Amino acid sequence: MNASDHKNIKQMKKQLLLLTSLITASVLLFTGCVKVDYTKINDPAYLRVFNNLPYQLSMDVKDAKVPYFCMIINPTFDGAGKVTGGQIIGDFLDVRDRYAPPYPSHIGSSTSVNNPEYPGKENVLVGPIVNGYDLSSWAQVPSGKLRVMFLYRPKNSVPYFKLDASLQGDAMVDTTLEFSAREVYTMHLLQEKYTDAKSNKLLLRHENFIKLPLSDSLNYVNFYNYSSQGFLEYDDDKKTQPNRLNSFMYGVKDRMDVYLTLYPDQDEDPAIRYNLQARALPGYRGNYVTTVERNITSNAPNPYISFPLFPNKAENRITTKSWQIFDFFAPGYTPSNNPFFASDYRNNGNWSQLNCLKDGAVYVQQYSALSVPNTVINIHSGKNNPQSFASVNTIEIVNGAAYLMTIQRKYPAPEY
Amino acid sequence: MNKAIKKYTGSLLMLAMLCFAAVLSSCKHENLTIPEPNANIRPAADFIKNNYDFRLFNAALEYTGLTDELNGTGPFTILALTDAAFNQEGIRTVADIHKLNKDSLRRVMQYHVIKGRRLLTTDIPTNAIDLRYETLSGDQLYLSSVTSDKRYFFDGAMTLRTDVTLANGVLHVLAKMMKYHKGTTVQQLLEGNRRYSIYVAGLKKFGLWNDLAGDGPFTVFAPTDSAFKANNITAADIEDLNPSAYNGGRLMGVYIMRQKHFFVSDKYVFKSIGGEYTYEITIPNDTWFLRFNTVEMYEDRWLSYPQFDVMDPGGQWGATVISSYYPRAPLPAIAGFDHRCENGLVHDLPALLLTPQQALNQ
Repeated sequence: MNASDHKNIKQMKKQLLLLTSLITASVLLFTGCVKVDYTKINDPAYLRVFNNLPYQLSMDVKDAKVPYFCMIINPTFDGAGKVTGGQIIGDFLDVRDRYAPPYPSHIGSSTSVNNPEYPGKENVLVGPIVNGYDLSSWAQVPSGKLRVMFLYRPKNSVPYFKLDASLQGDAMVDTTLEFSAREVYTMHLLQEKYTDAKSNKLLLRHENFIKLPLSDSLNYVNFYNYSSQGFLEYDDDKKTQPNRLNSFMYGVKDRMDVYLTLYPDQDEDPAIRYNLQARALPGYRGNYVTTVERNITSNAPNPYISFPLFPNKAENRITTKSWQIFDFFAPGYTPSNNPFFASDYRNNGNWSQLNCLKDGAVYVQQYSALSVPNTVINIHSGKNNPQSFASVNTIEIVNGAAYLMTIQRKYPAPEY
Repeated sequence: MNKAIKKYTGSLLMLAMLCFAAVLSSCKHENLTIPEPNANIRPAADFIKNNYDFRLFNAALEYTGLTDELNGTGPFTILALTDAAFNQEGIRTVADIHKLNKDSLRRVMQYHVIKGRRLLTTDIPTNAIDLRYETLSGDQLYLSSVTSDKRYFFDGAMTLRTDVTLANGVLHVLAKMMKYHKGTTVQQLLEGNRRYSIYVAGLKKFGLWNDLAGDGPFTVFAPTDSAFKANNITAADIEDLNPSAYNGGRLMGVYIMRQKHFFVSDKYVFKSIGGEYTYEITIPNDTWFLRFNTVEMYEDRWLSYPQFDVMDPGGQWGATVISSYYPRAPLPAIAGFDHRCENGLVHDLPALLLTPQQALNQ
């Protein structure tokens, strides 16, 4: 190899470098220029939808339609009057879960299309943090007058507009509702008279928690009874059976007093939870907090009651293991004169119990209570793992079940 | 360079030998026999023709000219009827088939073929109630299933054998003929059927007759004339009754379930998948109610039969049984059940639930 060969190779290397950098530059130039159109809704309102309609397996209502919907907001129609699409489509809306979490994370990780709430699994624009409250479980919708349709659909995984034409267009409700900009709404599908599908209706609750001066060292709960008329009186044997017997399954009376009891340790062995009453935290045993009345027409938010985040003086005010039981008694009964046994789930709607502890999947021995997750949120935040946070909660009794919706404030990210 | 080669020669040689051994040993294998694909699967009509149990079904297909279509590409789901199922309808020979109206028989045969679908039982949704499938006749049939029991009911007719593979579909064998009386109301069906003549006279006498032309749906368990005769009641006796002396809605209306369309098998389906053992339905404008149960009876095979109790909730001992019907041998023909009309269903009832004496006005 002589000197000129070396020179040539050097030059070739230079040219190759130039060529590759040119190609890279041009590739970057073209791919880097993709225009991204971000979806944006001007002056949005925030909407969350729950389907509370009952579904029974019984010969008597053999032809009743399955409460499984496609929600369409501002629908569009073709010349024949058939719905062809809409501004917002929430398909596969199933009956709700017992727990509506502060983030849609629990819902989004499932593998089925069935959506226990809207937006839930839908990949849509969600609410921001408003006055500290994380609204990521609320979808953004345009404000103003919106036409809202709920269409019955068969329970399968075919998207609504790909269904056979004969299965489309069966509307359960078709109405126009007014939404104000930057307000928070919770919509409920309810049945006014039990088993009468013609009395199905929408209730749009205008939430006020973002405007209230709520303390972050208190837990807040408000209560609703959205049960259908005639549920309590309906044949007990035909009422929808939940996964296990509980004191809500046969309904509660129209007017119920709510009593709160706080307990110290949700992590203790359930097997030693005998004589639970005696283990209540001092000062928080069976306290009357409010009265809830069955009302399926009012869309006003009920007042919140509160209790301390750290009721246990022995704890360090960073984390708490305390948990709650809400007792619902018909007027005249109180925790101190309660004549029912803990296993009396069939008590003519006079007494029901709701446990809020751990993830809601805990069975408290000897109690016929229904279980939902703790209203205190324990989560890794900053250097504390876990740290306890107060939340704003809504407990809704609908027919044979009680549902918990928890709203959480924004909290500091975990440090590892 | 050379040194390095020398250094590794030994190990390279070893490796080469190892590879060689591996190649040799891997070449030893047993003869693999692959099952021959079955080339003898026949298309639907040929399969039926070659099956001795479907002689009459085949004759009906040939008579109505459906053979070529069912040998076509499909896919089809054939709901086949054995000769025994035809015998229940009083059709015993090929000559009997040829006596039938060709057009209506063609419709019936088409109704026994699900269109464009190879519906294996594994494709039927678990514990389905009243699924609709379109048949060759253009009408839709009802399908209910109790998956754990492997029981499937097409218009109330239970499958006896399922999932018989055909070249162009699948075949299930039904226990009886499905009967869809297209364009006929419950009222017309009762009127046109001579074995209900006394019951029809009773409905007219007590002012219930016109209801049955309405929208419904109605489920009528119609007592046959032989049921009246077994109680020594003739048409003339019904004619002689004084309507004001009897509770007509009770005497004649106990057999009618309003706003309901039930196949006899529905009671079995709801019992099996929903644990609903008893169904109670109040007689309109009355305190008395009817209890509808199902019992499994064995005749060649287990089949569901209806069972009834007429109940008075304010009786001497609380809810009191006034009368009962329990199917006993000889069991009623299942061909008499599940006659589907436009506004409901009509089922044979081989006994009376109430005698006139039990329905006297107090």
